[in-house]
Amino acid sequence: MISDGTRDFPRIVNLDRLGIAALAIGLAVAPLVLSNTYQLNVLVLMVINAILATGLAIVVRAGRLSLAQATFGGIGGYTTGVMTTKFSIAFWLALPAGALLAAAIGVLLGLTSLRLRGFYFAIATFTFSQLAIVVLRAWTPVTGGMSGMFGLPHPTGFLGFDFSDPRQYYYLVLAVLLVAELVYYACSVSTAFGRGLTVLGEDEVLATTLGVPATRYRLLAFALSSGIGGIGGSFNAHFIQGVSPADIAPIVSVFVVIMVLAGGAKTVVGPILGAIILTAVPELLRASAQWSMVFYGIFLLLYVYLFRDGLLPVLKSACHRVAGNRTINGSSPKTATVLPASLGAAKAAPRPDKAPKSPNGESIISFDRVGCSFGALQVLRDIDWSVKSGCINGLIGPNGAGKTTFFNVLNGVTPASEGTVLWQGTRVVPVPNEMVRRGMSRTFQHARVFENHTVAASILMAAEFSKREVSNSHLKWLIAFFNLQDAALLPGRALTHYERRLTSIAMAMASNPAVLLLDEPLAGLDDTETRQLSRMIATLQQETGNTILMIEHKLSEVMELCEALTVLDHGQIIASGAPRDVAKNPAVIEAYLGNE
Amino acid sequence: MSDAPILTLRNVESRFLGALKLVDVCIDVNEGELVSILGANGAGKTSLLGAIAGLYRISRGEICLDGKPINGLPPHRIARMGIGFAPQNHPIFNSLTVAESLDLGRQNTRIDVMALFPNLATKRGQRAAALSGGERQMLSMAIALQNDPKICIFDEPSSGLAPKIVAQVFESIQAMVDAGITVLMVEQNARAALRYAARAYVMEHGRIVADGIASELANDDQIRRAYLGM
Amino acid sequence: MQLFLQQSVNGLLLGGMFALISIGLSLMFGIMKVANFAYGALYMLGGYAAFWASNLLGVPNWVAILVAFAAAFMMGALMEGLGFAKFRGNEEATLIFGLGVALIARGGAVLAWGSQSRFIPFSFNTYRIGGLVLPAARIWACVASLAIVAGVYFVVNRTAWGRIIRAVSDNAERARLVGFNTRLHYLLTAGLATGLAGTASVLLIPVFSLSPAVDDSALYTAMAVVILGGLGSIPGCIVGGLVLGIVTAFAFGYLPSPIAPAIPLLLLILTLAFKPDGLFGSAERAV
Repeated sequence: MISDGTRDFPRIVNLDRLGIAALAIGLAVAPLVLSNTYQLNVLVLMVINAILATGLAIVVRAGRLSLAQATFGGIGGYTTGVMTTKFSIAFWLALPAGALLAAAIGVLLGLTSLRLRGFYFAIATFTFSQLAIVVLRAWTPVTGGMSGMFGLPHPTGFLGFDFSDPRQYYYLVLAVLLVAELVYYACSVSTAFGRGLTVLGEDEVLATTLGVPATRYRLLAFALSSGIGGIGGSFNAHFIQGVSPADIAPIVSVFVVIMVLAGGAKTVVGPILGAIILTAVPELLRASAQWSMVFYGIFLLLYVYLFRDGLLPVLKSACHRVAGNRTINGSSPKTATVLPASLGAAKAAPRPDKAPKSPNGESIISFDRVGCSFGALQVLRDIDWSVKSGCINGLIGPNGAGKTTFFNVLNGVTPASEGTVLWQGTRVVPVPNEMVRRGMSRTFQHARVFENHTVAASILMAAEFSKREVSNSHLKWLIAFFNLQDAALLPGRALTHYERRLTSIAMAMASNPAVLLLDEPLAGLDDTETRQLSRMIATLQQETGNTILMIEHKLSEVMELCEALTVLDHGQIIASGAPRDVAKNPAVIEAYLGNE
Repeated sequence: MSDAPILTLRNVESRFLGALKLVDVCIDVNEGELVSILGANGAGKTSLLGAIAGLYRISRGEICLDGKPINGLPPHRIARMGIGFAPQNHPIFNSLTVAESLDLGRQNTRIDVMALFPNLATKRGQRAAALSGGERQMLSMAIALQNDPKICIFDEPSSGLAPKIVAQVFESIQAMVDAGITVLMVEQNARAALRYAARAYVMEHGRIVADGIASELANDDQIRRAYLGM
Repeated sequence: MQLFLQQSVNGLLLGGMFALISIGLSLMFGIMKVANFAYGALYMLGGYAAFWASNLLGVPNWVAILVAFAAAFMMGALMEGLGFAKFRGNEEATLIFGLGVALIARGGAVLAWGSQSRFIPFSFNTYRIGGLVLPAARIWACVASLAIVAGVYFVVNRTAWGRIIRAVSDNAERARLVGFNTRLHYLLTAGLATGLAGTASVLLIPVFSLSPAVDDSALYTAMAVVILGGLGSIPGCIVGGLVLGIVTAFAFGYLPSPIAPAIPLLLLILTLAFKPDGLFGSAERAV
């Protein structure tokens, strides 16, 4: 099983390690340098902000911008506040309760993210935060209403630690930040979950098509993010010994967002950096609330005009220049310099895995009276069809006939409104990531690749996300077969159209599927490329023994490649069978071929 | 009818991110002609059309429309000067109806667009988003025919279309030419293009490597094999 | 019964006013496809432009309204030219740009002018009919609202320029190839949208007064209305406004005031969760 995906993510280069070490040392000794009460207070708040920002960064990585992180902090703070003051429960017992409550509510909010993204999702979180304020203000007997709660105790000390001392509190929250960082690290690079979450945020359609379970992953990300937020909020409330609705005003959540953007959600320590800058600067300038607002606004504008990847790359290139190195950006599009070990030179010639066969000889996938409608528009009607296993099948028909919908129903992107989909004879309700696991992959009309990841990394991830048994030899063979050796270390955005097409097919093949769905693989290719890829598809099928279903318009290739052909027109099958026979069918000629 | 070509390109060179895209390209299109540009992917055909329409800047050379230089002008000025460009993959206005899409400029005086595309005529009130692939291509060409352009430029009008529709598209282009409209067409489908065009240019790696009368090019074995994959 | 009728009237009037606040945003969203987080700030600044014109220069009220329109128009066009044009297609950048401008405007307004409420001397009566209270200011605001929304609808859907900006909004590159200067049209549309916001601000000063805090409520109200009514739908503005107005009026009329604000918020969240296209919207954006 593949486990080398980490190697191909932006590797921590020497300078990054130095930077992180410097940051760690700086954070460790800060209270020794900045030791008066006011400075210590600022340091503690800075670390708490960093905790909140790190939590938010998990959700941002997953592709959603939430304007409610401070609200989760408030949920944590109010929960521990109520439990410690009204029920005399020790802080350390109340803390997990607060975190769990925040996580649970976070999951609820995350459910809305399944259908909403971008601006809509931001507004949903914004509305939620307003609703929370109304509830907390109104529930006076429990929450203290508009003035909130005060007199919250410091966390009970242990092992001789006394947390009423700001300096010790600082080290306490620093430890919490370290834990939060480790969770964030796990959610970004070092685990399969993290890799899946990252690409989910970058290209959701492609990620789910390759097997990333979007719902589960996103909800887990929300749970972790708001749980961490809740913990940060509790530590805040028990430091300043109070919590009120003002702490969770929408503007506070906006500040957390700004911190994440400032540091950049693409790097592991970005949120910490953002929190440091955005807490320290207004304090240094002794800014009033209004001047802070103006400062943050100016910062956002600078961000969006000048350093949209966060400040870290800017700092890095500055450090490079100071150190005398050439800046890395811009000299080569390669984001890695060495192929991951699992794809390196092999002792023996690599061989593809053989595609799994259908156990009882049933057709691998079939439709039984399947129909698909969008509101009043019926796109597919009464489809009875099964794929001919072990060869290349064609699906042709005029534009608008429903071919892409046919594919979408096959792999679950669109549900069938009528009829049944059968996998190896058994009824299934297709869901994209489950179908991949079962052994069905697909490509898209417009070749989709991961823009920011190398070809090699993408193929490795595709194999990993499918959760299927795939040998290293199979992946090495794919790269050689599709002639992607030279392009293997280029990121998706640097590929030519043809290379993108080949990469997308290689990614679909990485899971060693029993069935491969190709949507217009030859689109946009010139005559030479068309013939090359066409031959590759034929050889691919022969070498692996899998089943291919292909939508195509280039008829000469279709006739040559396909053993079985199905013609779709206005959502219905009008002909089916061997290509020669189908081509002579008068209904097909009338609807599609013309008298050429 | 004047003698000077409607469209001339002289020694046109263009680059993209430093790499050469077009090298020393010289093209003439005379009034009333159907000229085709052929060649493999990456040969520079789309860069060429983009340069003419003003979407990309050229680094050297000159592009003249009816004697007036147009290189360096913004695309909307070039369009107003008389270029009707229908890009690849038939980009149209999905949220406008067919009638509204054709009401953005003056109607073409040389040819009755509604008679040319009867499918569109029956769907005047429909939103463009609801049209099929072939109808979208026709609408895209019809949009380009507004404002009586001096030259219509079509980028791969047949790509992605069912074979039956491909025939219809070429026939409508022929009808345009018969009505006196000048057409420059980039095509992947060399066989069909050479059947309809009067003259053709073959591009490879950004250069013109062959040009001449379409029927002669079609019968030249060497050219067919080397460049046209026929 | 009396309460019911009064709240119904209140709700309708409120609805009309909400529609007035949001027509500019509906235009920005629907045509420019821009989520302008600075909308509330421009609403507020337009109001202040009118206030200072009236207060310092003593201009008559109708001139103050024009000043508000002109000031907001210019600021909107500037934001479009320097910002939204640059970030077109990048939703995150657009959001953040708007947020940045909003923060600067809000903080700056308090620093420059203080946070107290301002008024422009409009003389308005309050009519009483059959025991119902009908403030004339609200009625006039509603009339203006209907007129403006109808006007915008007419311009966008029935005029040549409306066709052009719809084409530009749909496919800017093709619009360029048909001969339209898309940059110019974007500037005009953005200016018009924010100009309408500024105008709304002045017309509503008699009802809501004016202070820097107004930008939050304007932005939030406008966004709620636009989402309820559906993005890209101008008549949706009226419907969304009415729905929000009536729900708000009844909530505040029948529920204790700490809880009442929750009702419109719940309405919005439920709409987002179950019908994000709103009542009239086109299904393009949400998912």
